[in-house]
Amino acid sequence: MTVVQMKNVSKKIKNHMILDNLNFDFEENQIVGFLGKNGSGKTSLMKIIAGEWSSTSGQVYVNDQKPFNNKKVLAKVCFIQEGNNFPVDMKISKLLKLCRNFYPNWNQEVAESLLELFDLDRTKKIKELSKGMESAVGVMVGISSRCEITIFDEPYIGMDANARKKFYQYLLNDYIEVPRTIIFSTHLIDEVSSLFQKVYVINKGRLLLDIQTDELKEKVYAITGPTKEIEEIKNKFTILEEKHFMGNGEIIVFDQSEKEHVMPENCKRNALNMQDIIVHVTEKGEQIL
Amino acid sequence: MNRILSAKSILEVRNIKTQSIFWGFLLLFLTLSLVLTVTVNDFTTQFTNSVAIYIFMAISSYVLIGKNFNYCIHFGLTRGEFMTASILSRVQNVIVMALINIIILVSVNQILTSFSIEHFNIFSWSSIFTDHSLIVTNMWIDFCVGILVSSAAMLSGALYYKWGLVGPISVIVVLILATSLPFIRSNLFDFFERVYSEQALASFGWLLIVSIVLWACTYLLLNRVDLKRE
Repeated sequence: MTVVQMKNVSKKIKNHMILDNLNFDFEENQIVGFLGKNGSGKTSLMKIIAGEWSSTSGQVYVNDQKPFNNKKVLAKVCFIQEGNNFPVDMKISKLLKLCRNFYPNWNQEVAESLLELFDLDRTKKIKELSKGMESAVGVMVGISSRCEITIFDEPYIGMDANARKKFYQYLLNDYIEVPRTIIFSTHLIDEVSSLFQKVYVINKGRLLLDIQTDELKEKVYAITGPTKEIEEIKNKFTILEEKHFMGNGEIIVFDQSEKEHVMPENCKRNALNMQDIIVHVTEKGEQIL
Repeated sequence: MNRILSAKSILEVRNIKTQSIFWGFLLLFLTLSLVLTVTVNDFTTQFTNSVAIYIFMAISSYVLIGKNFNYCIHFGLTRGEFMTASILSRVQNVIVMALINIIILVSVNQILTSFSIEHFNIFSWSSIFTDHSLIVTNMWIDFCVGILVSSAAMLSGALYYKWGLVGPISVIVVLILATSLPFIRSNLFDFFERVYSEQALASFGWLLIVSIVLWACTYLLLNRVDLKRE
């Protein structure tokens, strides 16, 4: 079943186009990544899906319904952003009580185990927590809500590497136990990319790529070898980056052909990590479109 | 209903604390004024609780929108649910404030009578509307005025949320200009004079109708607004 559907969606704020004619949809029960540079429009897109913002034009459907100010949709969405999720004067214990009323699938056992995992003191107010602890509260609410659609917009600000690892592991285990749609936006792409089944790369408010993670890794790679041989094959690809030094070169390519290319004798194909792939794709995004 | 009550509890996270501070200071000033008047015995003091309550209600209602709208919508409430929770919270607050005020009024008047203190007066609406009982008059007028002030402040808060300072300032300018028009001013004056001369307490019910209109305007304003970026 299609859970999110965007048809010609645009968002304009004070004559500035934040999102420009987005068209995509995705099926339920997947972990998808929204990736892109700062200011590319990821957060705006997530706010529209979460029903916090309306679109300027186009149609947005979440579970076949418009999300903005729609109780039926809002009760099924949990949106955790990088900060300011909860009133600062509220105690964690009070927050837990409230969440039970706001999220119909709220799981108290999961919440308790996450409190323990992140060493959160329920008697403390949000304003008494460190930045990392506050993020951990957001993560705890996001996972325990078990909403049909859970959106994490860089929820880990201030969390150390150890805590982030615990979060990813817990999220994955909980997702396996109760599959649901999880939308994740992050700049720490390599840490999370293994979770993503699909990624949406956004640049300047436009959708550059809508692709399965494995497929993206297959399509974007580096070719190294003698400059002469690289020159022979480079017109077969969309070149994202090109470097030459002392007769040798390296090109980062976006391979849009269906069949595999035969490499010249001295050329080698090298895989790239996800972070590098996204950096190159967003840098030369216009060429891919 | 659970969602609305939960939203109401978000709106009231700091309520008990701020109300305690408000009443603490008010009682402190009241006691100091009383003690000073009795010891000096040279001047007459007129103390007014009601105005302080209206100012407190205005400030807390104005802040309510800016501070809580984002959190409540972020929790998945609709704009309508937020408005319902806000109105419930305001009505409950006004009733509590009016109740506390009447308890203070009765207690202070009791003290003044028992100790025959003549140089100290505590303002009560029943000194204007003498045909009615102290409790009914003060409870009813404090409730009506409190609700009106709250709803006007909520509308100002919503205007600020949507347009920044331009919103509430424009409304204040329009109100000042409107009341400076002779036609409106004379009608308002006639209305208040009639209410006083006829001792028509029921006329204060009009304030509640105006409040409902102001709340409707607030709802319409917030209904299409995007959450602020933080």
